[in-house]
This record gives sequence, structure tokens and C-alpha cells, in this order.
Amino acid sequence: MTQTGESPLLRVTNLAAGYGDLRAVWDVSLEVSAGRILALLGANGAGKSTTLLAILGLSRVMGGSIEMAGQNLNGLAPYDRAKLGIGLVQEGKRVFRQRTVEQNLMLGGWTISRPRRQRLKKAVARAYDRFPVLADRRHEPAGSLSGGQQQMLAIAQALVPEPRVLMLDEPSAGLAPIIVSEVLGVISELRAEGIGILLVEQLVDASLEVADHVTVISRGRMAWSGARAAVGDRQDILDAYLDSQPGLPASQ
Amino acid sequence: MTTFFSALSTGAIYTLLALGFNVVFVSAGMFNFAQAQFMMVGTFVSYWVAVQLHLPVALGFAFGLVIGFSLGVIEERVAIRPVLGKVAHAELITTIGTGIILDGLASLLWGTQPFQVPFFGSITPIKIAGGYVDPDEVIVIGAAVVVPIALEVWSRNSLLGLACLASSEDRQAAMVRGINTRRVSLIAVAAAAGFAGLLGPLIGPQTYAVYNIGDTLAITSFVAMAIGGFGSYLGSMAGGFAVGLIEQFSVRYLSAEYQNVILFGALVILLMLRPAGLFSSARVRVV
Amino acid sequence: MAATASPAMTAAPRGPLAGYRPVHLAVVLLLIAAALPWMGLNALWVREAEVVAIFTLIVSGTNLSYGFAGELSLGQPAIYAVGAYVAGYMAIHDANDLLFTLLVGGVAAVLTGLIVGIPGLRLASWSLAMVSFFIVLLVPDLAGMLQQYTGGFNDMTGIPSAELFGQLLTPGEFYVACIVVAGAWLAFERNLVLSRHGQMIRVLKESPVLTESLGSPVYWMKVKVYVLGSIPAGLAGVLFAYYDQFLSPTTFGFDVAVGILAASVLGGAQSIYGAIIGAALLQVGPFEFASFQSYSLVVYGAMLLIGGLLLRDGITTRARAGLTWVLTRWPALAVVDPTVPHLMPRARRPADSGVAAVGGLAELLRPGASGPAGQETATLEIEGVTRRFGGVQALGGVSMTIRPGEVTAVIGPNGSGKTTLLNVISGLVSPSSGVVRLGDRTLSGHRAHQVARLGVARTFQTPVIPVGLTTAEAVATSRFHGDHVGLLPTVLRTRRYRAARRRDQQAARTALSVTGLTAQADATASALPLGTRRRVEAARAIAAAPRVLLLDEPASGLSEAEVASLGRLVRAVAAAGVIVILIEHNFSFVLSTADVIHVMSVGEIVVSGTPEQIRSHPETMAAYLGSGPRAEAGSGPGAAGAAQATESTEPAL
Repeated sequence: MTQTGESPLLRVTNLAAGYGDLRAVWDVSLEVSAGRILALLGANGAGKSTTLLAILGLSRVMGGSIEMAGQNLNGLAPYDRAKLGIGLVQEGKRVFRQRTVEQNLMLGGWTISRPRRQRLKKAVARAYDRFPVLADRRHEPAGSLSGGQQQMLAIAQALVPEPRVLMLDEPSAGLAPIIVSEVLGVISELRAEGIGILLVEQLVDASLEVADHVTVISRGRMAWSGARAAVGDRQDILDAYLDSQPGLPASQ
Repeated sequence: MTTFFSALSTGAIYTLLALGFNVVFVSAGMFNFAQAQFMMVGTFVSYWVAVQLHLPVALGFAFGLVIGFSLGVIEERVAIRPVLGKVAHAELITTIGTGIILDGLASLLWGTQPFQVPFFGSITPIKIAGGYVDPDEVIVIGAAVVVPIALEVWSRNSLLGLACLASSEDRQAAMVRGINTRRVSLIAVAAAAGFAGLLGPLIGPQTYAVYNIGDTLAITSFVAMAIGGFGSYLGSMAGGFAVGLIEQFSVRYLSAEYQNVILFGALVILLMLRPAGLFSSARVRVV
Repeated sequence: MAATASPAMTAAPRGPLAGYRPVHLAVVLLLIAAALPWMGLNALWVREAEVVAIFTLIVSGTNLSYGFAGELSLGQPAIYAVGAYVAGYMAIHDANDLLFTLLVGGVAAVLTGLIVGIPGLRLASWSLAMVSFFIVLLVPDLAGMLQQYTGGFNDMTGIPSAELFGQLLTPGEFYVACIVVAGAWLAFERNLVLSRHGQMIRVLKESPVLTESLGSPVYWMKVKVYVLGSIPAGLAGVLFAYYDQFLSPTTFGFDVAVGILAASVLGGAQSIYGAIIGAALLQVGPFEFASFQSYSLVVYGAMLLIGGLLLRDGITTRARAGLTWVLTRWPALAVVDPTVPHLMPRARRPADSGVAAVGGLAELLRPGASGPAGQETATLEIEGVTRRFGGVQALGGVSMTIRPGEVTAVIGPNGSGKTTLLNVISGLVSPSSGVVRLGDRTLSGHRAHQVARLGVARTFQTPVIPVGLTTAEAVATSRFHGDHVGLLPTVLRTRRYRAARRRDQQAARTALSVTGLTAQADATASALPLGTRRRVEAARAIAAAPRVLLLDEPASGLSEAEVASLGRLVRAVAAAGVIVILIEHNFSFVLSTADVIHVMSVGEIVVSGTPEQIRSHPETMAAYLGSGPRAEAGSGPGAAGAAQATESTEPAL
């Protein structure tokens, strides 16, 4: 299922977005291609989360366009966009804490087309294969899992309907470095299945280890964009990233 | 013993109403006052079908279901969706208003006197364990045991049931998973309304068809929910039967006037000592 | 939920009656109303007006608890019944002085309110509605049970006319009494709503969290407001007993409850004088429920439904624009404004403009900074605080000593536990283990409002500003408990109250000037832009003269100039002796403002030090960039090892 990544699955053009009257994103463009990871970096408040939410229709779009597989998403409700194959792993390990692991995975499969029961069974089984620790705790409430396990569950849940594009909002937040490596490792492997990945992160170095393409957002606008190979000693990325994080020591 | 059976059968009615309230509460996160009036509508529908249209009594089930469901859809669209989440408690006012309109329409169409609703089966009392119970009471009690259990199982195992639970736990996360939370609310309100209408031929024989029965039923089933814990289907069952028992035994051993006072006292004690109820899913915030 | 359309009061054209306030118009109307029988109003209309006065009382009580505090009660008819029966009984048994019966009726109403409110408010949202609805059901039962007193279902008859000081009141005099009682209650309500108490009630409606953080226990405040709203229902009952001289339990049923609710909604639940309109509507034509028509229920239900639907946006923007236009010319007409009447703010207080901004920041902060005698160098100690949420360890053993006189910053990436730590200190969240102490007082384990009263003030990541307050009023709400004036002195506008109010204004003025918000003092606070609202929160926290100031991302959304002045402000506050803790993402701001910086990651502090030390520390980079020594197992300062031990001992995850 791999593609060369030339025709993008998800294309965002000159996006302006925010909440109510407040604009958080002024002009952002990006493309997500199958089998590739685009890392969207930026300091806190730069507009990364707003961009992701806008793609799914959960924040207010004030300009620009969003297209998934050539289809313009304007006016579609979030649940309809999910049906088009856009998956989102929200910030903060947002699983349904009162439901069990298994129930969470089943809920992930809500948008699976018929025959749903069989497909869902297979998808859940595949999730347990990929994340064995979830299999061990399948009947426990999700809220009782550790932070790293909840993050794994959130990713597994988003993968159940076999999305074509998977967006992740700061999957590293609140996780110890070893766990962060594990999580990013899993994300990296998803490439082989032809999924296009949009990874939003605060941790520059960790995400550079898995990215194919990098975009840095600063104060709602693009500050740097290019292939991973072009990053070099990452100084220019850091400069762009740190623009709205002044004072953070640039040398390392 | 007969008192005991009466207690169970009135308690069953409270349970069934509490279930309707809870289904909406769990799925849409709100309290639909008019649910009690949907039950009242159900009793009138079965009266209308059986006595005024002279159709087989059992058709009352179908008519009640359809009419209840339709009213639920209308209410959700007109009175609930526009205000839900926008202003604090606005849906309290609009659903109370809807309920009162239904009361008013019933009194306009049929007047204020109670009407007897015939039962589709036999009316000879059955003797069990030294007490007498009517066949319709038996069925109602059975329903009040079977339905909560079925709902409990369904909500945790079926995908739609899980979607309802997920919608009320975290609406945005549910939308991200592709769940149409608006439609979930609509289905919950309409299904609960249809269910209440469906019960008309069963509870009508006991409660009679009276235009304002919804008001008192709402209060007693609220107490049932408080006892069982809001959001819990099994709790509705426990609470409903508990209220039925409290009522009947206070009537028996004291007098009719004390029934409500004692129930109120029980409610006060419960709210002070165990406000989250006995089987709580702890969704309603304890202040 | 933004309130009014125009944020600031610009110099709008003023009409000829511009100097008069709603209350002036209300007083004039009241006097005219009282004189009506002698102006030729016939007896029938006099009786109608009495009924309107009686219902105004009940509806107004509903408005107080629903419109202002957000708690819906349906039990007014029962309290009304209690007042009526108590008065009727006393009157029949020769204790017939009107003032006396009013007093006893009021007390009975308070007791009933407590019986309903204390359990009813234990659960959120509609439980008060249902519990109060229940007591309406109880009225006939109780009347029956207490038959010997009430006449039971056979009704209480033969209630004599009211007396005052031994003289029987003529019908005209009774009419005036009704008007006076209704007017007195409305005056009480008005003075309550337009006071510091009233502002706290608005805070209560807006956000329980903010209410607790400002020092008020939410539950007891709700009970208080509810009980206050019960009093007029009891007074109305007393008057009704004399009005009809006959009481039957059927008078106090559900239809009355519904009618009252409809009147409240239509007249405007947030209006002080709207209760009169609503009550009047209950008497007019198709709505009149004394003659209970068969279509009345449908009409009431529709009124509730439509009223509830309209409430969702408040008054439509177009209507509001029209209203604003009218009210700038005739501000007295705000008497009928169904929404919170803040269209005419400080124009009505010429005396205030002469009050100079006193003393400056140090003066403002002194009471908090020094605290009770001998506490001047009290430090904030955090010892071994942990916090789990389900399976997630949000804080894994945090310890720090925070000293007054220096700015302490806590920084770290998302998910590092900074906000949880702040919530633990302010008491919104209790630690799973560990202790927080201020001097020799233990803070942890106390409820948030108790912690607030011990001198801890905070801001929130998403600002919480109640609707219906000007910026100056919003800022002053933090002083409510520290400089407390009781309910009665407040309503009576005693000297004590007015002095406290002046101190509020001075403190607010100072706080606003140091946060650069003087120009917005009279603007509607909730309509301000996000960055400005953050500054309002900071001003509010400072105005409380706290001992500990917690700032949650105060610089977010501010321009560079604003950030610079925020930095100066924070340093000045610390210099005045306050303990200042700052959570921030803006690095340069932190480096230039803080004296001590703690870097957190995954629920623990990984490094602490001065800005110079932190600036180039590898741990800092690692925490933010996900690189460097910490990503390699075991190397780096000891704290890194501790961080890795945060996750459980399971090998893979």
C-alpha cells in the first residue's frame, strides 16, 4: 500500500483558524502524503493544535482550504470528516477513561463500514497484536492505565478504523523519555502501512528522529518548511522554533 | 403480602419512568422533564385506541410507540437542540414548558377527569404466596426487572450503547471518533419517549389516564433516581422498588397523608448522607 | 456567553433626564402606585393591584435564586402556603398585628427554605428544582395532617382583616401595606444585587471554581441565596391570607408553580423590576390563573418554551442595540431592562471621580504581605507532593521552598504537571501524598475557599470573568472576604459598607493602574479581548492583597510592551513581600523576571536554579527539545534518573 508520496492525501492551503473571534492561525499550508511523516513543530501557543483541530472541524476556519483526497472539507461536521479516513489522537491522552480498554477500541471502530462486526473484531485483534500491553489489560477501565499505556491506547483507538491520515497532537506530553521513544517508534512503523502522518510536537529532537518532512510554525505562521534531509544541523529550525520562545538557549 | 405486590407494581412504574430519564441523561447529558408527560400520553393513547376507537387493546402498544417517538423527535428539535449547552439550565425551562403543554393538550382533549384504561389480558387477580396480584401488575413488575438489566447489558456491549456512554463522558472525543453526537441525543430522547408511549397499555390500567399524572410521577421517579444514583439503570430498578415499598408501607401502617411526607423525609436523609446514590456512576456533581 | 454589545462607555449623547437612575423612576412609580386608591382607582382594580403586588414578591424571589444565582426552584407555592397558613392561624387566634405576622411568616419561610435548600442543593443542576417541586406536592398532605390547625381539606376560613398597632386596616390602608411590603422587598433585593454581595452572586452563577478561589464556599452561598429568595414568598403568603381571608390547599398547586416560573421567565429573570411585569402578566386576560381556563396550561407551557428559547441568546443583539440607544438618553428606563443593568455605569457616581488612586502598589499589598504579626518571612513549603489521576502520575514527588520577596517560576513542556501543582497549592486539587504549608499553617487538605481565605490568590489559564460586571467590579470581587461586610449592613448601605466600598474602589483603581487597565475600568469585563482579560485576572488577584500570588501563564497573548510591563509588575509585587509563583512558557519573560526557576518534566522537578544557571543547563534543553542527556539512559544529573523512574517498572511500557 505504499505510495511514492507525490500526490498528497491531505492538503491544507493558507489556513486561517481560531476560536470564536480569536485567531490563532494566520497562514499555514502543509501536505501530508501517504507513508510519510510530517512533523509540525512550534512553541506553545504557536497554533499547532488549532491547525489539527481545524482539519477535523473542531476549531473555526476563517480562511484557506482543507482537502482530503481531493475533497474539500468545508462545511463537513467532525464526525463526517472522520468517516473520510482522518484520524486524530488528541492532546492529553484523551481516551474514554470510564470505559474499558476493549470498549475504547470498539468505539474507535464506529466509522467502520459493513460488515462492521467482523471488521471490528479483526481490527481490535490487530490492535492487541501491535500493542500487547493493551491485551493484558483489556477489561480494565482506561483511566487506570499509566500515562504511557493511555497514550498507546489512544493511538490504537485511532488506528482501528484504518485511517489514511493520522494526526497526533503532542503524543509525548507528560511521558518520560523512554516512553516517548517507544511511542515515536510505533508511529514511525505506521509509515510502512501507507498511512500519512501529521505529528505535532514540542520536542524538536525527538520528532526529528522520525520525521520525513518538517514544518515549523511560529505565532500562527509558517517559519520554516522543508524535507528532513535539508535540516542539517537543525540550527535554522531551532531559530525558527525559538522565535516565539525567546531566551531558550540555542546552543546544544 | 398484597401490600408488598402493590408496592412492587407502583415501584415498577417509577422504575420504568426513571429509566427513561436516565437514558436521556446518560446519552445527552440532560434531564428531560417532559419524559413523565410522554408516559401520560401513552396512557391516553391506549385509552383512545381501546375505548374511543374500539380497536384491539394491544394496538395501543404500536400507537403509543409511534406517537411517543414522534413527540420525542419534535421536542428534541424544537425545545432541546436550540438551547442545549448554550445557557445554564435553559433546557430545564424548555422541557418543563413542553411537559406543561402536553398536560394542557391532554386536559383540552379529554378533560380533567381520570379515565379507566382497559387491560388486554385477564383481570382476575392471581394468588401468590398468600397475597393477591393482578396480571397487569405482574407484567409491569417483570418489565421493570427485565428492561433495566437489558439496558445495562446493551449499553456496555453494543456499539450504539457505548457510543451513548462515550458521548456523555466526553462529547468532543466522541465526535473525533466519528460519532454523530447530535444524532445520539436525538435518538436517546426519541427512543425514551417512544418507550414511555409504548408502556401505555401496561401502566394505564394502574394509573388511569389523567392529564396531570406526569407531575407526580416525575417527582417520585426523581426520588427513585436519587436513591439508585443518577445515570444507573440498575439503580433505577433498586430506587423505583424502594420508593414503591416506602410509599405502600407508609400508607398501610400510617395513613395516606403521610405517604409523601415520609418519602420526602427519606429523600432529605438520602441527599444529606449519600447524595450520589447507592449505585452511583457519580456523574451528577456533588457540591 | 458574552454580555453587552458595547464594551466601553463612550461619550454618547445624553438626553434631558440623563442624570436619573432606574431607582429614581422606581420610587416615583411606587409613590404613584400607593396613592392610586385616592386618585380614583376603583375597588376592583385596587384588589387586582394587591394581587400583582403579592405575586411580584413571589416572582422576585424566584428571580433572585434563578436569574442571579442560576439555581432554579419550583417550590415557591409551598413557601407561599406556609406564610399564608401561619399568618391565618395567628390572625384567627388573636395575634393579628400585621408587622408581627409578617415577621413570623418571614421566619417560617426561612425555615422552609432551609429544609428544601440544604438537601436540594447537594447535587448540581436540577436537583433543587425537583426537591422544591416535591414540597408543592406536600402542601395538601401537610394541611391534612395538621388539620386541627389548618382546617385541613375543609379550608381555613374566617381570617380577620389585618391590624396594625391595634387598629383595623381599611381596605385602602391594606392596599398601601401591600405596596409598601412589595416595595420594601424590591428595595432590599435591589440593594443586594447592586452591591458587593450581588457581585459575588454573579460570580457564583458564572463559575463555582472561581467562587471557591475567591474565598466563598459554593454550597453555603447557594443555600443563602435560595433562602433569601424564599422570604418574599412567605411575606406574599401572609398578605394573601389577609387578602382572601380564606385559605384552601388547592390554591397552592402546580399551576401556581408553573405560572410563577412563566412570570419570572417572561418578565426577565435577571431583572429586579421585571418581577412586576411578570406578575402583572399573570393577571391579564388569557393568562389570568385565578380563573383557571382549560387552555391556561397550554398557554403557560408555550410561554415557558418560548421564553426559554429566547433566553439562550439573551436579548437579541438588535433589540439590545435599540435598548442601548434609548438608555443612553433616558437611563432611568433601565428599570425595565430585563438583562443586567450595566449600560449606565459610573456616570451615576460623580463623587468617585474625585477619589484619587491611593498610595500605590506597596500600600495595596501591605496587609497581605505582612500577614498576621510575626509572619513576615513566612515561606511556602511544598513537601513531597504527589498526585495521581487514575493510572496517571501527574505529580511524582515535588518539593520546593518558595520565599517571599523573590519571583519563583515553574516552567516545563506540556504535560509536565505545572498546572496540577498550582491546583494543589490553591486547594482545587488535594495531593495524593505530601504537604503544602504556608508558614506554620497547613494548606493541603483544606478546601479551596479556605486556602483562598488564608491569603492565596490565583489566575487561571483560561480567564474566568463573570458576565454583568465592569472591570473595576470584577477586580474588586477578590476583596469580598478579606474586607467583609455582612448582608444587613450591605443592604442598609451603612457607613461601614460605604467605607468598604470605597476601599474596594481604591484597591481596584490601584490594581487597574498597575496592570495598565485604567481605561477599561468601566467597560464590561467579560466582553474584553482574551489578553486583556488575563490582565484583569492579574489585577483581581493583586487587589486581594494576597500573601501568595499564583499566576498561570499570565503573559500568554500579550504584546511585547504588555509583557514588559507585566514583568515589572510581577517584580514589584514580589518586592512588596508577596510570595509569587509564576507558570509560563514565554522564556525570555521568565529569564528576565524570575529569581528562581524550577524546570519540571513528567511530574517532577528536574533542575532548579537562577536564570543564569537554568539558561544554559542541558536539562532545560532536554526537557523542551526531547534530546540531550535525558534521552540517554542514566546519564545527566540525578534528577534525570528520578524522572525515568516515574513510569512503572514494567519493561516495555
